[in-house]
Amino acid sequence: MRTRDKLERQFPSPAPRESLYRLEREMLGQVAEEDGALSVKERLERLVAATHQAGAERRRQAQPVEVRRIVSLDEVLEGRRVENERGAFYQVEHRFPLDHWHGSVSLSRLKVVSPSAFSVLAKGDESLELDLTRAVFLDTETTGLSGGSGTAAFLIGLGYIQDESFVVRQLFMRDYPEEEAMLHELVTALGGFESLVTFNGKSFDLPLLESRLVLSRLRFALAELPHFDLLHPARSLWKARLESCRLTDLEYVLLDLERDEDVPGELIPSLYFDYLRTRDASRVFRVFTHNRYDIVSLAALTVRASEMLQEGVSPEHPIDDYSLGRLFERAALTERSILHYSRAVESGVSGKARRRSLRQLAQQLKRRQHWEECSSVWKELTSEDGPEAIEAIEELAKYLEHRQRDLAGALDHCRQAISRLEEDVRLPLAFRERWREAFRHRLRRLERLQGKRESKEGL
Amino acid sequence: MAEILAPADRALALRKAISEIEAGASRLPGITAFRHYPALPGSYQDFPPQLSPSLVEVLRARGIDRLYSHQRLAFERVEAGENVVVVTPTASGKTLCYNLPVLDAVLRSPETRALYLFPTKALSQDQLAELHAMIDELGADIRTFTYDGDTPQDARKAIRSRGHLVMTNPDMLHSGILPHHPKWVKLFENLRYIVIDEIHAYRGVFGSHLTNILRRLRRIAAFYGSQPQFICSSATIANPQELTEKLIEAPATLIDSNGAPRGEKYFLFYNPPVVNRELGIRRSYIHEARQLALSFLRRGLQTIVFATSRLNTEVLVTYLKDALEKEVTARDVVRGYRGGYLPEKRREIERGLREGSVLGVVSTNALELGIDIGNLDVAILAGYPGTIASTWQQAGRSGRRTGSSVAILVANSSPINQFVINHPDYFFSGSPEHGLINPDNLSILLDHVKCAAFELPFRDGESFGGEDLADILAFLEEHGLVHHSGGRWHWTSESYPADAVSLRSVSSDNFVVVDETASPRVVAEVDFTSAISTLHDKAIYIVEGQQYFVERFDYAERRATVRQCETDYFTDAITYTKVNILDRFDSTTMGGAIRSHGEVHVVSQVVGFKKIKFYTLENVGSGELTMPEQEMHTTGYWLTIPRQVLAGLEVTSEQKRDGVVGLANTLKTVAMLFLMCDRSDIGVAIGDNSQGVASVERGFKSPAGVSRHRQETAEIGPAYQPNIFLYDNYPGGIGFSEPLFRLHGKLLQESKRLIEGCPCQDGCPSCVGPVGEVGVKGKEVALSILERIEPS
Repeated sequence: MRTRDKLERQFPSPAPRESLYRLEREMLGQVAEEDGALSVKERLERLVAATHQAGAERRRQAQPVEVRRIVSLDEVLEGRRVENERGAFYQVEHRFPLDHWHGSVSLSRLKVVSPSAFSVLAKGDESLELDLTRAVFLDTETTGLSGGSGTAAFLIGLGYIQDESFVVRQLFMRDYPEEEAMLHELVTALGGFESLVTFNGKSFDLPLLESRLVLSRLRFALAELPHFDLLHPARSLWKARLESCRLTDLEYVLLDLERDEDVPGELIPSLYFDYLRTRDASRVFRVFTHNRYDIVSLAALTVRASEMLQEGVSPEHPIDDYSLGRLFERAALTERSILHYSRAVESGVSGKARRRSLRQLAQQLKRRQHWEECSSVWKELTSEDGPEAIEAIEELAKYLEHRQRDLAGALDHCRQAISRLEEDVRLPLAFRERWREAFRHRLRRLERLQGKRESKEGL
Repeated sequence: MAEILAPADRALALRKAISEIEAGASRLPGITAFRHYPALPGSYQDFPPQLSPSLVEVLRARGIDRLYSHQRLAFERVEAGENVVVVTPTASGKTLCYNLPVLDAVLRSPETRALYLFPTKALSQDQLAELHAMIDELGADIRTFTYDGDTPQDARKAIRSRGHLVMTNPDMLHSGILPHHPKWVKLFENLRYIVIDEIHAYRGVFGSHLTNILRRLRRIAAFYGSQPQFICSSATIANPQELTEKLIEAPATLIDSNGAPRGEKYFLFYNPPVVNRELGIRRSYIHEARQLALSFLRRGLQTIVFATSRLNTEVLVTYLKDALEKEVTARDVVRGYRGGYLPEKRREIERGLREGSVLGVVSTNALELGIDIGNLDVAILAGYPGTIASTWQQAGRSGRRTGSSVAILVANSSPINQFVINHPDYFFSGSPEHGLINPDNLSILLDHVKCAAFELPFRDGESFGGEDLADILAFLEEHGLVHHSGGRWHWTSESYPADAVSLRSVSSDNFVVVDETASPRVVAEVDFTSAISTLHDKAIYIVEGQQYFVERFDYAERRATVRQCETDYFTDAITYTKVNILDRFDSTTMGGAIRSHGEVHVVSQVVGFKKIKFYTLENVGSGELTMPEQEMHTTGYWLTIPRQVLAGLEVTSEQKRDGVVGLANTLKTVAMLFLMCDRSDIGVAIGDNSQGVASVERGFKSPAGVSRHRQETAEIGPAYQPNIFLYDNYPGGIGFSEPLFRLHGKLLQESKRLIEGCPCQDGCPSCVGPVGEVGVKGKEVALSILERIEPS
């Protein structure tokens, strides 16, 4: 029996599950977000309804006069075919004048950002001093998110400053045989820059491109290019304020931008696969728009992030001062972190952010041995709720005992803490038990000490 | 006393125990074989002249002045560029057969890389320790790592670029290494050796997968310009060379002359006495194994007991602990060991055995493979392990290069056990089983073509396996998984195909068992198929003798919540199976019956469970369950008994039914012997052809199960025309059905002989099944049916 026949016998239609999912997504558009809320039955009902419509449409299309018109790339994009020694690929270039405003950020500010900001953002990595006029912003669109050698980047977007413009250059493989030429171009292009800026490129885009280069037998040490990945600094800077640090969410809050008609990320692979099979560019062009937008937003957000670090600039939200305090603390810039923590406290952040700011502030002051200021911060903290207050009482007890030799004061604090731990039911149970034990231990020790001291004095 | 003895005392104690058995043997009719294998001297050769001086130095420092002859031969054949397979028994120094050429090559050229494949994670841990010790003594910069599911994420990068010797298992190679090959450039560019240990473990489905994984591996190696050489090792099977060549798809040299010396060994067969001839009931083999084990343990002899299932392992541990821990103050002198225990626990038990702090261990076949537990005095096999090869391996767990050891096989009442125990020559002089694989099983092949396409685009004209690759790729293209362009087939799906393929069972999902007696903790991990029948609501789940009551089985979350308990019973699940015929490939009338083979759809479901009392094994209750159905599309052979054959029998319709069940039981036993496969490889079911649907239970019948079942099938009318199905218990089939179709005549002939030759009255577990299952006329009716349908 022929393999073909065996296959049909053993694996009859319906089509495998993965294409069903794709079908579902294509027919229903953006279902992914609400998917969770729908039962399987509801999803199936929606799918069946959509399939009926699609079926009707397909029947209409089946009539020769109404065949789906194939739209070429050139009709929807202003690009061109580019050739190099490895073959040809498709390239689209957009130039934004530097006075272009992307939401609330003018692209001209790319030229004035201080290079040293990046080493702070990258947790004190001093080698990372980026000159954004010599850097390239990179973002890829891929055939999947699973990683592994079967995932390809079909569109590579590069953004950079050139001749008073911000250029977004997009390299696109119209089919797999063009990948090698596209990657060759990427390698050549990257050679002209000092550094690389991405959003989550460390764990996604770069490993993927490295794999693709190996597969195309192109050797280029991508990892050796200084690389600033905005994702983690963005989290440090804005996590306290925003729920999500996805690029589009950052964009919405920090750049005052809202994309309309953006293609949802999870649809991107199927849009490309659809183009591969049909050569109809009427849908895939939306991925170019999406990618271009991502790159310009990445550049604008990089500006926003680095400008937040400038001295004398007051952040737009008091809680940012807390985040900045953390950032400078991690970069071992104690003075700056003290400045921001105090500003956060003064400008009236409340709740957890206030408690954390106080705690970290005290910690920095303690490190500098500024005992006076430090103890007054701890005192301030004791009038707050929460676990930080208990920690502060302990610090004060230690301070009184070791620095002030004030055993009575230390004892007093221990008792105060124990009664708070016994009464404050809002604290987690395990925390209360652990700390009560610690304070009791401290109390006993202090009492012994005091007894000794008294008997000494008695002599 | 049960304290471990000094070596000299042990030899004495063992000799005493053996002579007592020997003296009593004539009075013990249960002993059907008493073999004595005298000690053999070793055959030695000098180190090969080209072996690196530093290796020679290390070996000499370890007191090794010469090699065993097979070690030297292996080294020379590998040096000559040949693929080799080394077949030697336990404790014959087989690891040097592959470690010597590999280490020698790395010493000569530090770029050299080698990949070691072990069937389980535990084995790679073990080998890693051994290699590390040797490399330390060499003082060479040879980096050796395990790379498996337990490897921390942050260590992986370094291993990928720097490891000289990477030890892994087929599962990790399949889903963690091959799909990420560009990250392993260093390894693949310099891959010179692939070591496959325990190659006999790769039979059936697992082996069929491995061939395909090696096809993918060779394809990737070729992309990076390397052509690795294979060094394999195998336990004794009938066709090690053939199996190796089928797995690696290249010629391999067989090295099977063992040069290692061997200590004296006794091998006994023991059949528990019949206590009820009418019912063919023998004394429980579990009890007998327990008694035997105790008699050795009490003498302070280190003993391993192999049980045939996880359940029996736990039951035996419970028994032995009960008995011994009353007598000694030390706890944990007897331990259990099986898959499902957490790795740290297993390591602890292995160490205990090596160091002697553990006196006895009860294990499933998990310890059959070459995990280093030292060499023990006694091996007791509670139940025939299913194949001749496994039996020799388990028996080989006792035995030293010097000194004596004993192995005892205790038979249970299953037909195969009874056959083997009563025909010792079949075992002692018979050839062991063949390792059979079918790498071109279409569903296995298709899965791996997907994985391979993901890894590297296929080129036009390329081939992969025995089927037409172009057809397969065209099929995948229709399903949108690949895209043909520029003479290549590119993977065009977001999915990661390796994740959808499990090498060992139908589903790759594992269930965790969470003990909520105190603060929740995970006590075990159970594979999908076993979970359905051992972790259902109200089941008693046992880990190392500790019983747990299953409070909640959460199918969707893959989790069972349990609580510690102490009961005097355990539970056993009742499974129903339903088979639908999808397509007949061939169907002919032969003798008085119709034989067919083709495609079938199998649905099975756990519908209830029984409570069985410890020790007495009484049935003390049952419960109903509604567990999710498991579906499978596979191939099967079936025998149709024409309605006139049954109509001609002068018995009640229920008795006809019993006869058919008895016949099905017998056919399965005979089929297993013919195919030399494991019990779980074939499924059996009975269906009614007149309705076009098959419906029958498989497995135990409890009183509850029977009554329920009987109600459903009470309507055996004149139109009743049963099909007996023997199906490949693997999606897509593993190639057993077509041979069974061909062997139809022989199958019936041998079945008849087996039933006729059985001394029981009305049927027993050794032929058609016990009376409780097949009724009082079951044996007689089964024979009458056979007489009427047997080809002349």
